[in-house]
Amino acid sequence: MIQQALAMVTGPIETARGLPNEHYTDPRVFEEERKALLFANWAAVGIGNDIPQPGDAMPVDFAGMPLLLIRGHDGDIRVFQNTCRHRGMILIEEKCNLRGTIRCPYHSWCYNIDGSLRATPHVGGPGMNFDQHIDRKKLGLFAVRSHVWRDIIFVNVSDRAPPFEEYASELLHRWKEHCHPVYHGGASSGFTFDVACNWKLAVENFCESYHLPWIHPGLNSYSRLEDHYHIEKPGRFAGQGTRVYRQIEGENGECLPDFENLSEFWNEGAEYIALFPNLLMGAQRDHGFAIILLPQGPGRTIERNEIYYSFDPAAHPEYRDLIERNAVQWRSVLEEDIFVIEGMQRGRHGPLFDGGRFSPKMDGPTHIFHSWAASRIVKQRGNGDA
Amino acid sequence: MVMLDRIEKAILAAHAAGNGQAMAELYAEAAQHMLSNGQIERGCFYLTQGYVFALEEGLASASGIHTRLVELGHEI
Repeated sequence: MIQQALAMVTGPIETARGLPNEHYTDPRVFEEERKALLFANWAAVGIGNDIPQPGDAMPVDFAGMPLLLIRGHDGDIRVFQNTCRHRGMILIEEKCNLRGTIRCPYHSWCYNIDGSLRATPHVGGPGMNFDQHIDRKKLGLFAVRSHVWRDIIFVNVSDRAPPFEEYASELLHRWKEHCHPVYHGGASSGFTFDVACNWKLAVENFCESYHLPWIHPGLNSYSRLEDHYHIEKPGRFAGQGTRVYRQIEGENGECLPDFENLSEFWNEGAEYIALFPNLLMGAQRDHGFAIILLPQGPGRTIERNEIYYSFDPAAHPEYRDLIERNAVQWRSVLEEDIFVIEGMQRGRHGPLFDGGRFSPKMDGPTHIFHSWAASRIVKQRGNGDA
Repeated sequence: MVMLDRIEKAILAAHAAGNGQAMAELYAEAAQHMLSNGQIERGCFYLTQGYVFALEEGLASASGIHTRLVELGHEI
C-alpha cells in the first residue's frame, strides 16, 4: 500500500500525487529519509564563515547526527563526527577556537585538529598513558566526507555519492558565470528561523513561483507571475527563475557591485534553485544567498539564511547601508513564507489528505522534488536498507 | 606535605575556574614535587594531568612533559 502511494508520486505530473502524510509526520519515515535523502547525498551543514579562523570549531546537529566542523591550521575545512572514540561522549558543545588539541570532557582523550588521536591519559592505569590493546593510529575521529562550494560546507555521510563536482555538475555548469569568490555580508546577513515544519516543505515552497502573487504580493508590481519560469533537472535540482530582477538601490541610485563577467541575461535575470536534498540558493547579479535546512525531526527545521556579495564588506564600508537594507528585504520576504510551510505541516496531520495533486503547469519543480525523494526511498527499500 | 596541600587547593580552584593554563602548570608542579621525592607513580599521574591540559591549551610545555613521560616509560 505504501509502495503504491510512492508509485503515485513518481508518475506523470498530470496524475501524480504528492508524498503521503507520514513523510512529514512519522518519526520512522523521518529516520528512513535521513538515510536515503540526507546521508546518501551531498547535504549542506554549515558555511565556511562559521569557522573563519584556523582552529575554529563548531558543532552541528545534522538530522540528529552530531558533526564537528573544524578549520585546520592549513585553512582547510574538515568535518568529523563529534563523538569520542572511547565512550561516545560529545566532544565539543559550543562554537570555539581550539588553542591546542580537542580534549574529551569525560576521560580526556585528546585529538589533534586533524582528527588523529594524540593522547590517552591513564589508559594503562594511573599515570600510564598507553596500552597494547589501544592503537591510537586506528582510533582517530570518524571523518565525514566533505566539500566546500561557494562557502557552503557539504557532507556525504554515506561516502557513496559521486564526487561533489559530478553530483552538482549540471548546476555548476548552469551557474558557471557565478563561480567567483563570495564574501559573507556580515552579522545581519545571516539570520536563522526555527520553523515548525518538515524540511521538505521548505524545499517545495522555495522551488515554485505559483505562490508568489499570494504570499509575496509586493512582487506583483514589478515581477509578475508570467515573468517567471521553471528550472527542472530531474534527480538533481529544481527551482524557478525570473526575467525581471530589480537591484536594490540607494537614495542616489547607487547599487551594489556586480559579480564580474556576467552575461547579459543576468542584467535582469535571477534564479532560485533547490539543490537536493537541503540547500536553497539564489543567484543575482549583485548578490547570492544560501538557505541551509537543518532537519530537527519530522516537524521541526532550523533554516539558516546567509547572504553573500562579490566584494569583502569589511573593506567597503560605503556599501554597508545597502547590505543592511538588502538583508532586511530578504528577511521580510522569507518570513512571509513561514506561515505556509508551517500551515502545510499542520495540514498533513489531517488523515484524509492524500498527498495532494499538482498543477501540471505550475507545480513542475515541486513534483520533481517529490519524485526524486520517492524514487530514492523506493530504491533504499528495494535494497532492504529501510 | 604543606606544599602539596597548597598546590592541590590551587588545582581545585583552577578546575572551578576552567583555567587550563593554570591546571597545566599546577599539575606539573605537583608532579615535580612527587618525582623529586621518588614517588614515580604518583608523579606520573600528576604529569599526565598536566600534559593533557598543556595539550588542550596548546602550550609549548606539552612537548617537554611528553618527553619526561616517555623517559619514565609512561608514554609513547
